[in-house]
Amino acid sequence: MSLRKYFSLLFAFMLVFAVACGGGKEVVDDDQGEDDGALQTSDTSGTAAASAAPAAAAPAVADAATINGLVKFEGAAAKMPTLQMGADPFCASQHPTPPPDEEVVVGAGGELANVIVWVKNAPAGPAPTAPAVLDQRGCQYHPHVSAVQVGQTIQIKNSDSTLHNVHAMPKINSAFNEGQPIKDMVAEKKFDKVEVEPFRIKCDVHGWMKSFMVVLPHPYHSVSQMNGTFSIANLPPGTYTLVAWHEKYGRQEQQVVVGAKETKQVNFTFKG
Amino acid sequence: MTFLKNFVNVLSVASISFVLLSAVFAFIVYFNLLNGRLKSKGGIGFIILGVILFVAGLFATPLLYLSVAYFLCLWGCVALGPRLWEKKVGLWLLIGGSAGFALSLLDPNFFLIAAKPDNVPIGAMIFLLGIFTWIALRKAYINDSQMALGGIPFEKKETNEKLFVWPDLVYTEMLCMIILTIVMIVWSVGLRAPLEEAANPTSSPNPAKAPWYFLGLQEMLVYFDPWLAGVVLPTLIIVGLMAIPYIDTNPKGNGYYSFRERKWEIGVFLYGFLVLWSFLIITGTFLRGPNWNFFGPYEFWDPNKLEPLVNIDLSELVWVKGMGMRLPKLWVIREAPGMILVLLYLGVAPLLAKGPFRRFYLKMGAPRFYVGAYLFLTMLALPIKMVLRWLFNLKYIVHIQEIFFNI
Amino acid sequence: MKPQEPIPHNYEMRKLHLIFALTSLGLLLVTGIMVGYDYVRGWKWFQLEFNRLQEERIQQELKAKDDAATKKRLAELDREMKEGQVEIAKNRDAYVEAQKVFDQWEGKHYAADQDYRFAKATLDAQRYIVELSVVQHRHDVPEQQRKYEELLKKVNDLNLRLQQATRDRDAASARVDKFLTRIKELEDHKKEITASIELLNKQLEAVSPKSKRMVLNFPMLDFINPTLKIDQVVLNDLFIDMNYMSVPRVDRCQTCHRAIDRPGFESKKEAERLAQELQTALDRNLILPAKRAETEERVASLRRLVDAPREIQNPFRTHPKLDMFVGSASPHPLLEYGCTVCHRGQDRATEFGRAGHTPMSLRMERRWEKVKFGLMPGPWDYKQRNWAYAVNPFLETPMYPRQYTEAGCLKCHAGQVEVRDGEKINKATHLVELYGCHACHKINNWRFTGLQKPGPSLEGIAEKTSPAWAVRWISNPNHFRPTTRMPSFFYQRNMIGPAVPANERAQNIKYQDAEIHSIVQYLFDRSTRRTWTPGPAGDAGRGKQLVESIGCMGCHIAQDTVKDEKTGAVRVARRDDFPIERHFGFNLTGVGTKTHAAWIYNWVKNPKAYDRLAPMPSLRLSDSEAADITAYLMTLQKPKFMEEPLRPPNASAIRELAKGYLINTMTDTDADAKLRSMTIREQMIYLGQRSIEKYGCYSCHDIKGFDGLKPIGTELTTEGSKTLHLFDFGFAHSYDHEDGKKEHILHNVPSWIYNKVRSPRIYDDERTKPYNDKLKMPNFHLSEEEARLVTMVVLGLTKEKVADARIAGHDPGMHAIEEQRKIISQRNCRGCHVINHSGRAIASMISDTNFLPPDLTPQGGRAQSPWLFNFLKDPTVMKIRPWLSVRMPTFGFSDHDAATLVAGFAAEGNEPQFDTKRFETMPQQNVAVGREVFTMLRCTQCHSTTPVDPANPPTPNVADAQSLAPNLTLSKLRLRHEWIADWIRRPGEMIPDTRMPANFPRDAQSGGFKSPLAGAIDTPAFAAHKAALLPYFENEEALRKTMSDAVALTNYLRDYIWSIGIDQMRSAGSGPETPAPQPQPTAPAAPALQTGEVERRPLRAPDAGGRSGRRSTTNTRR
Repeated sequence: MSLRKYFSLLFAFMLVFAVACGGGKEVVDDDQGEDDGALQTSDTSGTAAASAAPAAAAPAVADAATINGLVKFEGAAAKMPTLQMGADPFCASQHPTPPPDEEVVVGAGGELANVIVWVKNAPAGPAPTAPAVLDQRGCQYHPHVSAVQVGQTIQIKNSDSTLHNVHAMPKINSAFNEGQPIKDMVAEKKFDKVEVEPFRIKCDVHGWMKSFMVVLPHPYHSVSQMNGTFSIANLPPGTYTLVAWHEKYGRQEQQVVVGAKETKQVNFTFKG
Repeated sequence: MTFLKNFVNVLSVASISFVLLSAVFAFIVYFNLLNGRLKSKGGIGFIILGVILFVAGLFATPLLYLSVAYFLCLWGCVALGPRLWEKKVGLWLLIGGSAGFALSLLDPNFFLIAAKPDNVPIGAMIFLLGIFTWIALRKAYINDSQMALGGIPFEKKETNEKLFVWPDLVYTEMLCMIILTIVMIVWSVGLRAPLEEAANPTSSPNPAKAPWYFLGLQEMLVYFDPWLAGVVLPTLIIVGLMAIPYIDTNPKGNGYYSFRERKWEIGVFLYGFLVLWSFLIITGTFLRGPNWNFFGPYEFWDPNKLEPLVNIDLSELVWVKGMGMRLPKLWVIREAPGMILVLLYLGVAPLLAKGPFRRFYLKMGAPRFYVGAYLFLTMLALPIKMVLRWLFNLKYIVHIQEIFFNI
Repeated sequence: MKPQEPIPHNYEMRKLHLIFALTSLGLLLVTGIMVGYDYVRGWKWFQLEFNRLQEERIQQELKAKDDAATKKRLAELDREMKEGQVEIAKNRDAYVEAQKVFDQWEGKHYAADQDYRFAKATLDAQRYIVELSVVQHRHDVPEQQRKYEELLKKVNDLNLRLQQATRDRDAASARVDKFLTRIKELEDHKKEITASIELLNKQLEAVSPKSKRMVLNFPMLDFINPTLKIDQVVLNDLFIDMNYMSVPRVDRCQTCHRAIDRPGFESKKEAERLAQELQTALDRNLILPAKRAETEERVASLRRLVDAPREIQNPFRTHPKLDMFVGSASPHPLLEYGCTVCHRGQDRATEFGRAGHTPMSLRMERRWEKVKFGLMPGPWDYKQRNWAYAVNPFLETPMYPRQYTEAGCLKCHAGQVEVRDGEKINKATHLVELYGCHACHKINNWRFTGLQKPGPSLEGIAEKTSPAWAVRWISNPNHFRPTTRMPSFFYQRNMIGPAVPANERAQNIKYQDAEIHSIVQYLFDRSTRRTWTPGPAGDAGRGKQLVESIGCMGCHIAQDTVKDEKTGAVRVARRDDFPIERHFGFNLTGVGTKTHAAWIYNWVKNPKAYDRLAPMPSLRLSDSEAADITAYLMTLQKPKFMEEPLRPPNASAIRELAKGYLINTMTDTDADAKLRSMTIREQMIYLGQRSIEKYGCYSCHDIKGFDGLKPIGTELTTEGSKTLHLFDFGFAHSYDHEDGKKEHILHNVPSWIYNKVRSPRIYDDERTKPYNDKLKMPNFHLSEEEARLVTMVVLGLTKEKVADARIAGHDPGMHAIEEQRKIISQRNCRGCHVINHSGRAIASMISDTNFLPPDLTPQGGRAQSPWLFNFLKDPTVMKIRPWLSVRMPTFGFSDHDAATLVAGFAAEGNEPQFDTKRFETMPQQNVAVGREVFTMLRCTQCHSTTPVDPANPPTPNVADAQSLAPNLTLSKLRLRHEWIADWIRRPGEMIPDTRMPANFPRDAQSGGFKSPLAGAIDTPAFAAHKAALLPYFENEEALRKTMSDAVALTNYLRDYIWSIGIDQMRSAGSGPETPAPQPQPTAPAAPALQTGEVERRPLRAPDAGGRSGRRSTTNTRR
């Protein structure tokens, strides 16, 4: 009994005068854990910061590659209802014939428009130069879908002489809802976090108005035109995953390898 | 009978009956000594060794084996005779005791209790008791044998010699002081003071124990009516101690160790001190667990342990069990058997005065003899009551709740 | 004379000397040990270790600080300095000259200054002398006067000289400085760059183990001013009850938990969270410009912490959520609240074991117990984090294990229904309320008194369902409705569990059958038997659609299977698959099997007709709606359930049990006689009654013949203060829970409670008890989390006290809110509404957010009390959004409850109960300007301004319901005057997902509001408006100014809206529709009272109950 204490005393002495000994293998318990499960030996490497984008040097435009592509649609495209703009006489007046909903726009040759295409794993590209524009014209958003870059200025313009309110509903970035009662009003906005799940922008005054947007860390994105084509330029050579997203038909991915100065053709096909 | 059902009770019975045996045995030997029938040395051996072993062993080894060991040792020392008093025997006693203790410490439950910081000193006390008793009696034996050959006791011799205060006295004293200090420090560092939380009237510790030196009294409360155990007996103890010098008029053995010249005095003292006081303290410390239940030395102190409360009064024993009738209404009649028994017990004294103890009666004179006798009877009453309780679950011999008088 | 013969020594001297030497050595040694023992304390080790950690961190910071950029900058500065030096060197002579002159002047100035000061001193002394001689009428007064005058003159001269000297000196120094200015400012620049690094270096010096101050910690020296010392806070008004007196707490936790209140030592998890939080704050411009820089710095350092190779371990971590706890700016600063008041534990202790740490899991306990050498953990143990832990049986307030820490909140927050930001504790108390723990276990504090019974009334059960169903239901409620709140009483672990021997098991089953059947027998025997007239035939399809749209789903669920998120497979639903509010009403699945069309029809039409205290409100259904809903509900069948075989009750079992009760009051033979005299039915009724008593059914349900009985469970008011030895752990140590998890029972109170609620009969394992003595607490099938939360509440119910000032919800305003919150949770308002940022369980059912019930978070500042009261009493008085299919039900609030709600809202908005503006008319100018602005901003696009009948306004143009907004003519009756303007300015900040756009968006820099009209007013488009507005302003400038002033504009709008508001509105209960048409049961004794005043279902006997809502306000504070 007392012997044991005596020994521990000696050690206690050592202990106090010992300059703390670092290093050595140590068992680390995550004491923030809620329960037993959390008391596992956790690796000490540390969780990577969430918003740490891969910092790559700006692409050497010299040997930059380009991806051109076409988005096709197979099968019966959903018949889009025409938008009833009766609620706001102005909107109605803007369209001789009530326009169809822009959710699915399929060209004559089955080309699918309004598909956002972007590179999933591209290096953080050069800082954005020109601002992105989201125009509200004829009580519709132009463009209907779009991709912007983190920190890029977005000019939201109201070209109608009616009241619009831009109600952006992102999950990660901070949402806003601003009224634009006056023609040609412009609101400037920025999104400073990457948000690859397209979020909705709507107008509460005109229920039919909606637009979708993704926020990417780089400029390597495009939206398929009426003829279904899209193009991503200035891409540093490498192996990438290409993502295509459509409001109704969801997302698709494709591997693509581009060499220096190469121009690749990539096609996507959505099925109804 | 109940005690057959309960192993612990068997142990306790063994131990207690064994205490009495040693006492009784002592008397037999005394008588023989008086008539010089038995070799004195061996005789003294029996008693002392019995007592020492009992005290040491009671703590160190299970009681059942203890009694066996006891009788073996007893006959052993008959054969041993005078050699019992050689120095090394004491050493062996010490070693043996410690060995037994050390071995017992291997048992977790035993360790739990014995190693409690506030129990350790009491454990040590047991050894000291044994050893000092042995040493004292050893000296006594040496002197006795000297005187038997017509010599004078060692202490007498000593007084004739001269010695220097320094170094013979002061130096040694200082050494003792130093050693004692060391012991105290080591002790205080090694064993933390068992401090507890602030006292809380709503939650008392279990078991709630008296300070160790009062555990004897607390133990008595189990067998006697609080009024008796808490007031009368303690008073008697004090009065008795005060009375000793007036009762004990034997001038011999002053300033030197001697047994033969003070057989009775020493016998009674050993009985009162070792058996009645120390033994009860030890029981209270080591064998009384939660809810003041009795636990064997190697038993786990389980607070949930239940002991049946089936104690019974003598009156019930006699009237209900014995005669198969209901208890008399009138307490005088109801408690008659008990009271008669008590009176008989107290009546023994005069008989003794006439009978075997006549010699003492004449020597001491009536007052001294009776006072002494009654004090002794009271001392004897405790173990008797204990045995009755253990064997027959006897609660009270006399139980008069009408006037709050119980024995 | 002859020499004395030598006297021999008794001892041999050499031996004595030897002994002496040895013993004194020994003494020296043990003394050393003693000192060392006294010196060595566990906490010193921790402090040393922490110093090392700090060093590490500071090094990190330093590395981050002087990065390449800084280095470069400094290098530049140095270079420029050199240039400066060169500059000086060029015209060296001039410089030296100037310097010399300056030195001379400096000397002169010094001398002059000294002369002046001395002279002044003598002057003062002289003044005293003069005064003295005047007072003492000495003869030498005039002489002294003269002296004084002289001195005065001298001083003035000297002063002048000094000033002169100063001027010259400064001139000289200026000349010198001309050369040095550049270098000087460079130096300053350098300083401010290196300042922070300097600081860090200082700190480094302080903590480094090599620093000289460590000497102060050596034994014997450490009484002076050691760097390692005990650190404590004294808390005078958070006392510990020492049984005889209350003593202030002295928390010494920081002695080891060094970093508890200083940021920078967060765990990776916490650092991650914090960084995120701050980042978003930065993004949203919620941080003052002044603070921005430092916040960014903080985020950076947090990220460094996250990326650091080693995790910082306790006890060296920073307290999480410093802005809420411990932090000096938080509501619970360390110096005021310490630690033990929330965490409990032994405040003064400085050793791990004695401090009362309690492990949260077996694994943790195992690790703690381990330690290499007894006395205290050494470095080796520290690495493994072993603390020589042992349960301290004497400690009356051991710490809460981590998962229960929030229990501490209740000590001060027991007077609150909701603790701000206390998600866990709020959910916990809500659970306790929902499951009705308070019904069986008396909990005598404000929060859990005056609540309604959790279960429905059984006084009319026979009208509702059949005995066959009831028996099956009681036997295993979960089987019928997996999400039900009704616990399982029968066939539990201690009856038929694995530990029970086979023969006993069979016996138990017999007994349980008997009890169930008897209970049902009793209930149906005592039940009222009104007959309900069936409604017309309805269309199930429409019914379904109604049920999903009009708001039933705020309180009800209609599914018992869900699609698992992870696996995607369909599985049986659990309670935690749904928001807690939706368990308020029962799960609708199988309702068709349970009851019959006629009853449902009448029930949905007017619940109060069946049970006057029913918590279910009336949705004012028309006959056809009710019929449709009935039709739909009848389609929710569970035929299989009714087909399951029923064991008929065993007569002998019934007899035996009944006898068991009888012989408590009569002898065996009499009991037999009595039983023989009873028919089996009578026996069952008798047994049923006794069983209901035994299981305490009456505490949750209203049952005839059980009025005023005490609740059956142990009182829990101070359960958290019970000491360990009062809990019976039985023989169980670990067990496999029904949901498959292996649970361990640690030997501490929290663990006991947790396992009790998780598996209530567990402590009967391996115990032999008579049937009626077995544990009776029913099994709520709580999930791990639920059980943990409930345990949290129980642990929080202690008898520990704090000074009244510390008790939250103490002031009247707060209390008004709490009273209101109580009713809100009792009425489950959150099923549909968002209140104080939480609730609206119904949201998952309504796809389009535009059609959700309103968010009431800003209600306090928003609504006028008279309107609100009126509306609560009878929602039909005004339809604000007539296009919503969700309906505000008629709860039939008592006046008291309605008033409490209104008062609560007002208090929440820091508004007076009544808005006096109500009766004012706005100045003409404001109204006119307001109207113009209104049109300019095109508010009319959504808001109608044509007066309507509040009770049933027309629904304009349903084709485009999204764009509808409330009719503004109703605003004056409903809204507070000030609030209107405020709302127009910042709708998004009040209600995040509102559709009302921010027409005056905030300016990121100034934080003020921008006006869209600022520039626009001059555009040709607005010429007309401008013309119309001008008359109201003295000049164009004033007009422009106003147009760019958002606040002014919103005020104008407010006044305009006020001016168009209508003043008339029906008062509650007077209109055509209320009270909703009453179905009257065609039977004797129908206690259906008119829906007007209806109290909440009382928890205690009705006599106490009726007003219990009110009473609760009085018995709150101890």
